[in-house]
This record gives sequence, structure tokens and C-alpha cells, in this order.
Amino acid sequence: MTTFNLLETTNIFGNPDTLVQKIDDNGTVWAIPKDLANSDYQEYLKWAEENND
Amino acid sequence: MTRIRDIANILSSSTNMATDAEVTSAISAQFVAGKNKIINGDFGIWQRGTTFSSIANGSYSADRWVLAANKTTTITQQAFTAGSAPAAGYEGQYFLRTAWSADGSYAAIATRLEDCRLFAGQTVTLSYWAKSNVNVTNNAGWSQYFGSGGSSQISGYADNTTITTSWQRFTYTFTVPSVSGKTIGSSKYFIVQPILIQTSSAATIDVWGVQLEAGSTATNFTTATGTIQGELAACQRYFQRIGNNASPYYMYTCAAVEGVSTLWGAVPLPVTMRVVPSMSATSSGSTFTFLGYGNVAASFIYLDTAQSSQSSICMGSNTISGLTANQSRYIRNLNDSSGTYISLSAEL
Repeated sequence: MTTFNLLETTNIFGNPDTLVQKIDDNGTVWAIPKDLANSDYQEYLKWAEENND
Repeated sequence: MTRIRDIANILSSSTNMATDAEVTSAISAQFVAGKNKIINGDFGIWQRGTTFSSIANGSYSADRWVLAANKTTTITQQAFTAGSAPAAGYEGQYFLRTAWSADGSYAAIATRLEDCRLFAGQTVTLSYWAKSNVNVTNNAGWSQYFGSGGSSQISGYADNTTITTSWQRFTYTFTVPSVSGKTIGSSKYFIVQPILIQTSSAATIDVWGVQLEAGSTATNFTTATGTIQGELAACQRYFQRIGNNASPYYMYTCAAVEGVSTLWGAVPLPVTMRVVPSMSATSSGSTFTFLGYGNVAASFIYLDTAQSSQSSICMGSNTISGLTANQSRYIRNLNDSSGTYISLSAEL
């Protein structure tokens, strides 16, 4: 089952950032851009809504 | 039509004028790029690999082709024996094979096209070749998916057809509904599903030459772009795999070292992607390395989505040690690199 994870990290400028990670059904971990046009980010938003994240 | 007829007559030095039917037939028989809206309809592009055992529902195998099934599924690339491709005059190289177990109740192979407006209000024809290890009932189908926040999905299915043990071309003509009055959300697409079986039995189905075109006639098969390079580029709008080279070790980019544990570099992409892609770094062991002033190996590459775009990605690391600020390094696969790569997905 696909799950999502929020990873606290630092960006290229050394500033704190939160990375959205997707772990798909095959176990592959994806870094997801926070872009509404990205279907994985759409899936994350739906997942977060259903899981009250 | 008249000018085409004139040209045809000149080229053939014929003293007899070609009939309308002959001219129409000649036009439709051409392998015209852009006629077929299905990308990778000949299953020539397999960036993700060529064997997918127990592939999960919703996963991609051949480029642009996604599985929708509750059956245990294995998908493989199969090669045609030279001269055995099912379409006369078109030597296909590969076809897709799906081996479905007896568990579950349905299984489908589908592709998603941009976007839900495709062919709206028009009559279109879906065609494909298929064969199976046993006779099996198939219901090809389509859907207009209006996206998140959009109108409800509309779908249609062909009447029952029987896929037999011999290659056979199937056609399905239907009218795509108008999108007038529809609310179109984000991530919308048009689904084409040449194979849908609903059975509790096992079946192994081969498919090739999927085509969706305007009109009520299935014309000669051609790929969407008409060229091998064009098909790869069309696929890479949605998915790219970079660096899966065993030799030479793949060189991704030069990177600037910002601190003892931080370096970054930009990787220009060969094809602009549909949207800013999701990114995955797969490594078989400690297989990324940062070279230039001694090797610093890392099993994890950080992909900065915020600094990436549709045409370039930002990669590096912020967790390793042993770097010196203001130096430059290059990022490449370390050695055992055949299983080490970056995957980028902008799928619908």
C-alpha cells in the first residue's frame, strides 16, 4: 500500500525544509515536489486529508 | 484530393486517373506520424526494465503502460521472431506479455493520455493486436477523467470479444463525449484500455500495436511519432531513468561543495517533462560517489524538489562528511552501477 512521509531536512541554501516522500507499492521512495500539477502530490494531498495529517 | 490525385498520377505515369477510393486508400495506408495518439503503442520503449514479477496494481511497466488489476501479475517484454510480427509490412520488435494468475477477478492494461479533452465530441477507433494462451473474453474500454475537483469520470466499453491463441487485430469504434459543461480539474487525462479481462481464471495475454485515431476506420498501424527517437522522447515527457550504466560509470554532473557535508549540482534533462517530476534514487549498495579530491562514497543522493524544474533537477548530498567547502566534485556511479540510477516521474 502506498504511504507518505514528511522528512525534516535542509534545502540547498541550508534552510530547514520539509520533504514529502512517497513509498509506493513496490517499496520505492520518491521525493515529491509541492506542485499541484504533479499527480503524486495530488495523491499525497488526498492521503493527508484522509489520514488527517 | 484533386492535387493528390494529380501528383499520384504524375508519379505513377499512369494514363488512367485514380479513383476517389484509390486515392483515399493510398492516403489512409500511409504511416503518418501524429495519427496515433497512443505513445509506445508498439511497446518499443522499456525504461523501467523488461521483467516485472508480482507487479503492484497501479504500477508502470513498458513506458506509458500501467497495470490495473487485483490479480497477481507478471509483465515481460517479449521479442518477435523475425518475420513473425502480426502486421504485414510492419516488423514490430517487441510486444508486451501479461501473465495473470487465477486469483482476483479483473485485470487491465491501460495508458493515460493528455488530456480529458482529447478527441472530445469525435468518433475514434481503437485498434490493437492480441493473442492469449487460452481463449479469453476481453472488453476494451476508455474513460474521460476530469481530474481532482473535476466532473465525474465517464467510461465506455466494447462488447465482448474473444482473444484467441493466434494474433488477431481487434477494433473498437466509439464516440468520445463532448466536454461541454464539464468541470475540468487538475491532473486530468483520457484513459485507453485495450485489455480488460474479468475472470477468476489464469490467462497469459500478448498485446502489440495499440492505436487510437480519429475516424471510424482502423488504418495501418504507426507509432505516435513515427521514429524510435521520437517515441523515446515522447515517453520521457512522463518518465526518465538516468544513470543505469554498468560501464562506463555514469557521470551525472559537476557539483559545488558548500560545506563539509553539503554539495549540489544541476542535471539538465534531455526532454522537458510534463511537470516538475517526482524523483527517486535507487542504489545497489554504496554506489554514488563524489570525486575530484579523493572519493567520498554515499548510498543516498538528495534530490531537491524545490530547486528542480521540468527541464533540470538538483541533486547532491547534505548528510555525508569529508568534503571541503569551495571545492568542486563530480557525481557519478561508484562501480557496481548497473542497479544504480535516478528515476524521474511526471506521469499522469
